[in-house]
Amino acid sequence: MRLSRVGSRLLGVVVLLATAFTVRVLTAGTPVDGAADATMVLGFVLVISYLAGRVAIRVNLPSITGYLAVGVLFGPWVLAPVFSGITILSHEAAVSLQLLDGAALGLIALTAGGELKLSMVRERRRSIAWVVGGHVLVVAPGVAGVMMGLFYLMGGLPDVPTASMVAAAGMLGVTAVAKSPATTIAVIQEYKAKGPMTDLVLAVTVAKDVVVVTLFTVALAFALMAVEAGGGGAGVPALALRTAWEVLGSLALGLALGWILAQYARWVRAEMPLLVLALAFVSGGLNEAYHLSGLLVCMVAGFYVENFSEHGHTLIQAVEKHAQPLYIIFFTIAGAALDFGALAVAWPVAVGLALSRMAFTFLGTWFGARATGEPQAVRGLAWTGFIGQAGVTLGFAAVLADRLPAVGPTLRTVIVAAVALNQIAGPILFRWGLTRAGEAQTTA
Amino acid sequence: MLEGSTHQLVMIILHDPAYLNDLLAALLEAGITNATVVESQGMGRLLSRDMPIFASFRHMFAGSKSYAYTVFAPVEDPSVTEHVVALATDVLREAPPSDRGLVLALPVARFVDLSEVPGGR
Amino acid sequence: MSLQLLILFLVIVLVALLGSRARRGRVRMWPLQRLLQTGTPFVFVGFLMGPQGFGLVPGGLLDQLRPIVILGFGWIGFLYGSHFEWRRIRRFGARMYGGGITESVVTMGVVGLAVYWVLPLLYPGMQEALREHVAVGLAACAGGTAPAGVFALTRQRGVSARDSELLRFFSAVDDLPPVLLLGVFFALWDVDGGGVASAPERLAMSVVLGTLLGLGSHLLLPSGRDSASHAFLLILGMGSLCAGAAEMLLLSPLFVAVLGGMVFANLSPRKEDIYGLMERREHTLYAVFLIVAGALFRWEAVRVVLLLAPGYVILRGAAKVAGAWLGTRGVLREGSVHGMLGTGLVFQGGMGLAIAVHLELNAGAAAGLFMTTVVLAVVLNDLIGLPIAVQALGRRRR
Repeated sequence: MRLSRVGSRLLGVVVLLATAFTVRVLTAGTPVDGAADATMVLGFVLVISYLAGRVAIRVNLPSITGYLAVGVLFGPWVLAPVFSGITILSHEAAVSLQLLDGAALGLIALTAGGELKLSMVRERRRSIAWVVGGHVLVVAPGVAGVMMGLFYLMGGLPDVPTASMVAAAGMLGVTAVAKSPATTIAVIQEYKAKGPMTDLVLAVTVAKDVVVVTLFTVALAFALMAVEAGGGGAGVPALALRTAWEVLGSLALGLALGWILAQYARWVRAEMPLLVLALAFVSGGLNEAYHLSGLLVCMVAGFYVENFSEHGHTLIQAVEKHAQPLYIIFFTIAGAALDFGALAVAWPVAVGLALSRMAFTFLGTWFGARATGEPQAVRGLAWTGFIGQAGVTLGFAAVLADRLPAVGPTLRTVIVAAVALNQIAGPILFRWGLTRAGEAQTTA
Repeated sequence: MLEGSTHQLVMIILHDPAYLNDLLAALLEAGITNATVVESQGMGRLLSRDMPIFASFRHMFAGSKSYAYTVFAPVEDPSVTEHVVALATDVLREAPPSDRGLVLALPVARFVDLSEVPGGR
Repeated sequence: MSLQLLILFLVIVLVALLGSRARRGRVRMWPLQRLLQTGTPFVFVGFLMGPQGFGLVPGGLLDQLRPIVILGFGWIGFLYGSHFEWRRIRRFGARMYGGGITESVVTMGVVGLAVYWVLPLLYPGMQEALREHVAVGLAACAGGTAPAGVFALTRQRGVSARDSELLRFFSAVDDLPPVLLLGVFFALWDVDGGGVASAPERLAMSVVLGTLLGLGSHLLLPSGRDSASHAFLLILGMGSLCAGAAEMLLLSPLFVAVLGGMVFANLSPRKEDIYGLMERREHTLYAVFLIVAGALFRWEAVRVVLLLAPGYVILRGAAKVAGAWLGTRGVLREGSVHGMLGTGLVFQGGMGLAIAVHLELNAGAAAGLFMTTVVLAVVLNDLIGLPIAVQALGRRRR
């Protein structure tokens, strides 16, 4: 009996699915070792998402769309209700994998920084600044305006005073500026994209990470003032201090980490995989303690290592070589975290938010690129790199739900629902943009 | 049959067996059909890698631990050597740097292809 | 927590630095350098970072690392099992296997019985079930031999060719009985009383799960061109799934994975690629295991540190000598083999350490006993094993 390649793979998948489901059924109702559960889910994700990524490539989609699809499919929303609540990618398992998830994000950020070349940044600094400026000045007010209009059309939010509604619309505008650096990097690396648009998108992505953190914190301070009518203003100086600490502290720590990595790459060079693993845990742990942005730290470290050390390149290469499992873990979990429950509830507002965000991102990018005389392709297509939204934005949504009474939970639902739309559309759009601009080197 | 010729001997030392097929295909592309492949082991690897940690049953067998291959290819035209170098570089670009191995070419003092010697059956 | 992580990171850098220096050194090294080449520094680092050292790795972090450790069990087991391919297995006569297995079983028997006997003296009032658990567990840790030590020994001048071959062969197969013991033991012995099936069912589940692992891996890797790293990713995923599943069902992930590796090696045309890939990364994995082992070490088990562990090392060494003597003289009927062959089999680590980590993570009331004993034994055997073996086996007249 000889099986075709596809047939053999399919049978393998059947074996794997049957194993996972059987174990879930057998252990249903008994207390389960969370770490063991997470290990099983990790294995499941690695295999199924990898194969889904291959299928995605076959149908001309980015492989991360395949990873996201697996997350959605085996998450709590699609198959789980069919199989009477047996969820493979359960919330508990996702929480147990947080360490790996954080590690994946840290390493992805490291490669993002490592992709940036100093000479390019110098040469294009005006374009970078203008596009970032365009996003801040066009996307945030534009989206906020549209949201305000939408709220007005719906006859206002129940039991929410106008000032709070303005604040809510404003916060939606500000979070619309945020984007997922991981999505952008993953698509760029998959298609080995090179060219003026890729460079610009990358640089803007990294720069925006600094800007967005600051912008969000400042906007939140104003929103608190508006909502609490004077009472919330007291926290502003403390908030400003915290923002400064988060941004500057992250930059400084990133430089320090970059220096250590550079020395390591120069003098030691042994145990590279172990180092990468340790590094990933460090960046994963940074987020919670000290309120530093692990993302920013890793981006800066990657940038330093790539540009200011002779041997750092080998290190970035080592990370990139092991990148695929990281993307698989990160995006599958991101897919499982997409909240279709929220989307079902808030879809009219969420669709409005997502569409207006796209429109204003296009406008902001076009405006910034035109002002600095970027070529036509960059003006018209670079916006596609800024659509995907994931972890950072979800983090903002959680902060809003926590800090803004009355409107916070509603905002979170809307944002989380819009993220689901953006994260599905983002990679597909960006692939299209890169291909149209002629910067995608491989189609597979 | 040529003597004291422009022949070169191209040696490719490959540290990752996974690339052997690609490499041989590349040689074929360069017009080389008479290469010889020898299983070999690098000195550093002999010292460091042949230290199984968890499992060693396979290490009981000679030839089961071929971490490297050495390819010998006689080349008549030096420009072919350049071509081979370019192709090998291309094939092994994706391999991790420590596994890429090396290519070297030596001048050949004397080259006799015995199959072209007249006589016999 | 993050500051601790940062220090952890720096310490790993330091160890790697020391390790890389040692490796660049000459082949014949003085003891401290040889120490660096073994796993001991990683254990030490783990200990320093653990709750008993500077507390850099809080319990919570160890918990978060557990998925990686369980995945490691799957990997180690799969790698070990995938060595046993029928066309290779049959190249050796049944007596060779008999010899190796005798050596391992005798060692386990002697160590297990001795531990069982001595435990009430050290811990009066220890419950019977716990006593059995500890005795079986420590026996399973003792049965195997770390191949790395044997390979270092057989590379020395003076060890006869036949002795070298036997040492290498014994160290290659003597992990099988402990893994089997563990598989059966875990099926019979319900760790938390929360098992999902009866003992025979659980044994059957282990076998089924292992077979599925091998079969699934084979099916997922049809012959043809996948890049090696992709093939590796699929195997890693499959191994992780089954190790996690085994652990969830309270079975032994090592046993399941060894079985899976065996099934895979005898089915798949892709096995050669997979060995190579797994073996190339085993060093990193082992380092992680050693660090975790060090972090799990407990000083407070003073009785273990002062009495049990040294006794364990001496007894295990003696049992290895006796077992190897029985295996070679009794089973293999080879009179020319060195009578002290077993001194070359005292090295501990590799699979034995993986077993110990696994037992410790599921130790329940016996927490600290396994890891403390085995870590000390690994370090002691690393330190004194090679000189003693060279002394015993190297001076032999030709």
